[in-house]
Amino acid sequence: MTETYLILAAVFIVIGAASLIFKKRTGYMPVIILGAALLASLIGGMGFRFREIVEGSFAYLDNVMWVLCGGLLTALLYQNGTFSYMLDSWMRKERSPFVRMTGLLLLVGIPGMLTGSALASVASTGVIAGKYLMRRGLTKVEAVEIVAGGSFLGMILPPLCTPAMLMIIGRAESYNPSFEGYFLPLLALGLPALLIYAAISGKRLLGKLSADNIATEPQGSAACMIPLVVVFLLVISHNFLYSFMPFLGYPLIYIIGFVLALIFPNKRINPVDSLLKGIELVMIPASLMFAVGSLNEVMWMTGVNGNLNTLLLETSSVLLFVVPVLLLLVSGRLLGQPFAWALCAIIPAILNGSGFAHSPLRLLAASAILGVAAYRSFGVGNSIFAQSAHELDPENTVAVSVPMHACVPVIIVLVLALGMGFAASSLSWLMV
Amino acid sequence: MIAALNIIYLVIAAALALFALVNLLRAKTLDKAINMAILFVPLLLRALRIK
Repeated sequence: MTETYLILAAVFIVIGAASLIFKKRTGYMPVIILGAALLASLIGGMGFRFREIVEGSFAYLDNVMWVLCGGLLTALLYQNGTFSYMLDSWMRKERSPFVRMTGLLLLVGIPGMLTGSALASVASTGVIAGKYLMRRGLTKVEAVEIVAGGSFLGMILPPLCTPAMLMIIGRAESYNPSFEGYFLPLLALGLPALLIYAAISGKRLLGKLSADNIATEPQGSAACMIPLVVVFLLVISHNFLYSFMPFLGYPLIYIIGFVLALIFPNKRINPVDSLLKGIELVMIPASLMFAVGSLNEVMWMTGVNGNLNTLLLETSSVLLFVVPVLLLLVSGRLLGQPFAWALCAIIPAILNGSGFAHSPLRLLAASAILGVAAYRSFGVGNSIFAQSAHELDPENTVAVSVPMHACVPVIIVLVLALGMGFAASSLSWLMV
Repeated sequence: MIAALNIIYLVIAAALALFALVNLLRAKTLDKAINMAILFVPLLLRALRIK
């Protein structure tokens, strides 16, 4: 047992210290986590185990391929003007602030839904929508609030959610998992938050936009939306009509969307640029997933996860949910997302110990709380809010303070996730 | 169908590995190069069916 504590202390002291040293440069964290995995195998008396380090990343390979293909499609739709067309088409018509805000948040969230990463939304639709809103009289803080809220909700909404994939595949050693069947639970977490936030904040944020100052004729034709419509239908079929449809999988669905986007572009662009930009768009969550997979493998190899499970065998299932979730929330906000993601090398195994029946939805609830911790952090790491402010105004390095009402969607998701975690066994019907 | 999908997925993995490699070679910062390398290795191994 002493060895287990020693490995845990060494690994998380190294990652925690690196989180503080690199602060905003989160790009270095995946390699630090890989280094910590090598250190763990060394302390465990097993030498440098490169085989397990490489093998661990394979647990997330399929999911990373989903995320990367989502990134390719997002980059192409961003660069060929489809998202701009959709924004102009949606905003130019006279609608109530609630309806307009709902559509705007969904539009900003599309890349987050396709890739599971909020940063993909921030760097694509977030830039388009944020600049559009600032040109029409919204302050930077208001525009950032909409971009950050939409990006966060896009990450939580189905079909993909990188924190959820990280957590659910993370229990691979104790149960054969796949990230299938989580469409409705993710919808149950994200949709109420989106609707309530739009109802509360629609008038405050978009009420001052008059028909005169938003009437922009959309450039191009509605045909550019065909790829997204086809991808939407295929994703719905993949999740609910799987008995009648051949299995395609997300990468193939997204590649079909990519090819259609080449056939129906809003403006001609070089697709090679989109292919390279798409990988870059989701580089950080994808490489973090691989790194955490390696650390997870080493934690099982050195017996850390097994020992923790044995130690916590008699602990109440409520504690086995509440304590890890608190740890994720607090560490994610204090030490940044990479540290909280590294904790997911051990937390899925602990949560899994809270009961087989509770496990899938409890893991999902914990992952939503991991996402909540990403919204804003205390100066460490690139939080969704800070990243949104940076994308909209890269020259201005002064941090934008987060107003309380900007945290409404995050608070709603937090409350819903806690509810889902506690009532997990009675909500299992959500898993289709 | 399964065999066809298997081949398609190998092609997708190979293509993603290639894009990661091109990004790695064109990277202007060290952290981007490192992250692309982390992505490249498992994708290449998958494309080559090495596991």
